[in-house]
Amino acid sequence: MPADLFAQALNGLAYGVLLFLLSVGLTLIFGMLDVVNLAHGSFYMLGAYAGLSLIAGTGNFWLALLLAPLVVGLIGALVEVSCLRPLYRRPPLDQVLLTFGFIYLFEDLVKWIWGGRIRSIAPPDLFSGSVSVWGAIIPSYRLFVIVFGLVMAVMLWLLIERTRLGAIIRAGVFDAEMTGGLGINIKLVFTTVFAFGAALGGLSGVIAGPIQSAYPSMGVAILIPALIVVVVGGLGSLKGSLVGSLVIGQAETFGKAWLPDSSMLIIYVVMATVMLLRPQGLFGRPLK
Amino acid sequence: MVVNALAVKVRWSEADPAGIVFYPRFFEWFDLGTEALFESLGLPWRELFPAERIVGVPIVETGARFAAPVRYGDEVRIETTVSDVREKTFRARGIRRRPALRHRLRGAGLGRAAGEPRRPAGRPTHSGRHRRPPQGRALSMKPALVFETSVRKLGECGGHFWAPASGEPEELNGCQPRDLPNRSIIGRSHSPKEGTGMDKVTRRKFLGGATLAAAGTAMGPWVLRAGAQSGPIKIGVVLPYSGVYAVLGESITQAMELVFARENWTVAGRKIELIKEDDEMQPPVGVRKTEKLIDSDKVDILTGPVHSGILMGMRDKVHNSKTILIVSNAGADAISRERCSKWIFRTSFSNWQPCQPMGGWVAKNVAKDVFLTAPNYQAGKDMMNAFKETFVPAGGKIVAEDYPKLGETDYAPYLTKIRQSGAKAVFAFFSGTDAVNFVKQYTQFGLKQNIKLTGAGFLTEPDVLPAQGAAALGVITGHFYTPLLDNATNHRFVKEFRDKYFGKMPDGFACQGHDTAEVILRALKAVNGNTQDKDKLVDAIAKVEFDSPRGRFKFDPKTHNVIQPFIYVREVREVYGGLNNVPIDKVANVADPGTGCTLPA
Repeated sequence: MPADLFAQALNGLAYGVLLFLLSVGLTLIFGMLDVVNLAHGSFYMLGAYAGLSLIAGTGNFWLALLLAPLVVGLIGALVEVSCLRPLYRRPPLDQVLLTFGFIYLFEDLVKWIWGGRIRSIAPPDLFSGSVSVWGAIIPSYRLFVIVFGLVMAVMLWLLIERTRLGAIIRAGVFDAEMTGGLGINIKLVFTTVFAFGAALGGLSGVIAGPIQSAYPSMGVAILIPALIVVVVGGLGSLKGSLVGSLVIGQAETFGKAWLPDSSMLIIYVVMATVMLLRPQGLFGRPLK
Repeated sequence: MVVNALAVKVRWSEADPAGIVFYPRFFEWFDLGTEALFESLGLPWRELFPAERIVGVPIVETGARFAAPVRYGDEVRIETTVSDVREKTFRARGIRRRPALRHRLRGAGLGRAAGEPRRPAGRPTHSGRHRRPPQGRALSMKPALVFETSVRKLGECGGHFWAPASGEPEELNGCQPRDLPNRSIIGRSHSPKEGTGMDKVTRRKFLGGATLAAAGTAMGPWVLRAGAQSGPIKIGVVLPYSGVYAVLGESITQAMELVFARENWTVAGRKIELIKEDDEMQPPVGVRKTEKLIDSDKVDILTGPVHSGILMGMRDKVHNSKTILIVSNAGADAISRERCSKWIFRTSFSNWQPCQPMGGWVAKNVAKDVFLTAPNYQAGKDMMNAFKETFVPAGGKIVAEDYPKLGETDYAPYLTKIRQSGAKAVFAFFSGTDAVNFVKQYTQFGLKQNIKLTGAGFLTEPDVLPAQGAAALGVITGHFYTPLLDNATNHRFVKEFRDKYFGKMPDGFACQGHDTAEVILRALKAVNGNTQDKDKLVDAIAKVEFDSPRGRFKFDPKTHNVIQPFIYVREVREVYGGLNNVPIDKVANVADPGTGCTLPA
C-alpha cells in the first residue's frame, strides 16, 4: 500500500508540475495585465503543434523545446499589440470575449494547418522507457517533467524576485499605473509579460506533447484545470501557482484512484473550499 | 362574387381601458371573416383541409391602417370576399362600417383553377407538420386567393388601406391614400399619443368621421402535405466535428460523401443535399441540432450521431416526429432493445456486438483475470457488460473495473491501479483521442510487456493508429471491419477512399458512413425518390441488402440493427508498410439479442 501511495503521489506530482507550467503564464498575465486570458489554452496547443513540426523538421526534441516557446511567445506578442492593447480601457468582459474568440481562431488555424487528426509527439530517446523509483514504476519522461518543472519554478522565482525585470513585473502587478508613472515603459512591459506568459503556455504544450498527444481541442480541455489552479493559488502569484498546481494535481490523481466516479468533483470541492476560507486564493493579494 | 358577412359585437375584453378596441383584434376579425367565408360556402376548413390534404393556410402578408377607433359596444360587420387569385397567394378583403362592418371577398375560385382538378398528387404524410411548400405540378392545381379586408365607418371618406402587391395603393370611396408607400402594408396604433404624424391623421379622421381602419391579408400558398417530388432530398447529419470524437465524424462524413459522389449526388432524379450539424459531443447540443433539422430544415432522412448519450436524447424527438433516423455510429444497446423504434435503423453496431464475442475469446485465448476499463458513459458501460456476458461463463474473473471520464488526458492513476491489481489482461474501450492517450500511456508505464491489452476495436482503429504508433503493436481488439478485408467491395472502397482523401486509410467509421449512404441510396431508388410515403420508405430501408466492405449487409427485421456478418478478432501488426489490424479469428452473424424490442413500435 505505501508503494501504491507513493506511485500515485508521483503521478500527481507529474500532473501538478505540468499544470504549474501551464498556469504560471496565465497567472502572470492576469496579475500584470488584469486580463483573464482564456486563449492561454490555445497557446498551450500552439506550443504542442509548433513542437510537433519542429521535431519533425529538426529531429531534435530539445531544440523544439527551446524554439517552440519562442514561436508562441511571438504570436502572443502580436496578439497583445494588435488586439489586446486597444481594449485595456474597456470593461474586462470585452477582453474576455476577445481571448475567447481567439480560442476558436487558433483551433481552426491548427485544423487548417495540421488537420483535425490526433498527432503524437514521441518523447526524446533518453526518456522513452519507464523506471522504478522505490517500487513505483513511472515513465522516465514523467520523472523528467517533474524535475524540469521544479527547476523552472526556481528559475522563475529567481527571475521575478532577483532581477530588475522581475522587480518591474512585480511593481506592475502591484500597481501598473504607478509603475508607469515612475518612468517605466509600461506598454513594453505589458507586451513582454504577455509574450512571456504565452511562451510559458507554449513550453507546457511541448512538455505535455509526449504524454497527452496533440489535438485541436487540447487547449480547451486543459483550460478549466488551469483556471482552477489560478483561483486556488491566488491571482498573480508565482508561489500560489506552484502550490495550487501541486494541490490540484494530487487532489485529481487521488480522486481518480480512489473515487473514480467523482474525480472531477474533487478539484471543484478543493476550489470551493479555498474560495470559502480564503477568497483571494492561497497566496493572492487580499481583495480590495 | 362570393361575399360573406359576419356580425361581431365589440366585447369589453377586446377594448383597452379607454374603451377603444386594441388594434390586434382587427386581425383576429380578418381571420374570422376568412374562415367564415369558407364555412358559408359549405367548405369548413376542418373538413376541407383533410379532404384536400392541406395542412393550413399560412399568412404571408398582412397589414392595416387604423384611421379611427372602434369602441366597446360597437357592432361591426365583417364582409369577406376574394379579391385576387394568384399562383401562390390569395387575398382576403373586408370592409367594416359602423354599425356594420363589411368584409368583402372578391374574386372566385376557392383554390380551384378553371377546369383543373383540385386533388393534388401523392398521399398525406403524418399529421401536424407543415411540409415543404407545394412545388411544380401541385402548385398549378392550387391557385391561391387574395383576400382584402378593410374596416371603415359607414358613409364616410377614409384613406385607403391596403396596397395590393401588384401596384399602387387602391383607393376606396374617393378617399386619398395617405402616408402609404407603394407595396407596403402599414399597421398603426389607434392611440393618438403615438407620434405627431399619426396624431394628425388620427384626429382628422376622427373629426371627419373618416374611415376607421383597413387591412389586407394575403394568404398562401396552400400548404400541401403531398407536394411534388422534385426538390432535393434533404439528409440531416448530426455528427461531432469538434471535440474528442471529431475524427470519427470526419470519417463518417467523408465516406458518405464518397458514396453520394459516385451517384453524382442524385437519386431517382432528385438531388441529394446534406445538411451537416456539429453536435460538439454534447447531448444538449445534439438534441437542439436534431430539433433544428427536423423542425426547421424539415429533412427527409436524419443520420448520426456518434455519442450514445446524444442518440438516447434524440430518440423521442425522432420517434414522435416519425423522422427516419439512420444511426451511423452511436451504439447504445437500448436503441436495439427496449427503446427501439420503427423509425430508427442502425448501420453501425450496437455496443454489445463487437464486445460480446470477445469475452469468451479472451477467456479462452488470453487470460482469465481481466481488468475492465472504459470511458464513463453509456457506451463504455454497455460494452463492458457485453464482454462480461461471455467472459464470466467461460471461467473469467473480473479483477476490477474503472471508468475514467470521457476526454481524460492523464491515465496515470488508473494505470498504476491496473499494475497493482494483479490482472493478467485488460479489456478496454476507448476511442478518438482517449484511445491514443490510453494506449500510449499504457505502453509508457511499461504495462504492455506483462499485461496483455485487449479491447473493443475502436481502441486501435486507423483513425488513431498512426498517432499511437508502436505503442499499439500487439493490441488485440474485436471489430466488424478492418481495411484489410479481402472482398471486391472493400478493395474498391479502400482504393477510392485513399485516392480521394490523400492516402487516409478508411476505418470502421468510414465503413459505417459508406453503408449509411448505400442504405439511403438503395432505399430511395426502391421507392423511386418518394420521401413522402414514410411507411413505404421504412419498408424499403428494412429490405435493403447489399455487399458492404464488411461483408453482406442486412438489417435485423427484429431490431432494425445491422447483423454483423463477422466480428473479427484483430491484432495490431506491422504489415503492408504500416500498422494494421490483422484479422486472426472471427465469429459469424452477430446480431444484437434485441431484448425487449417489439417492432413495429
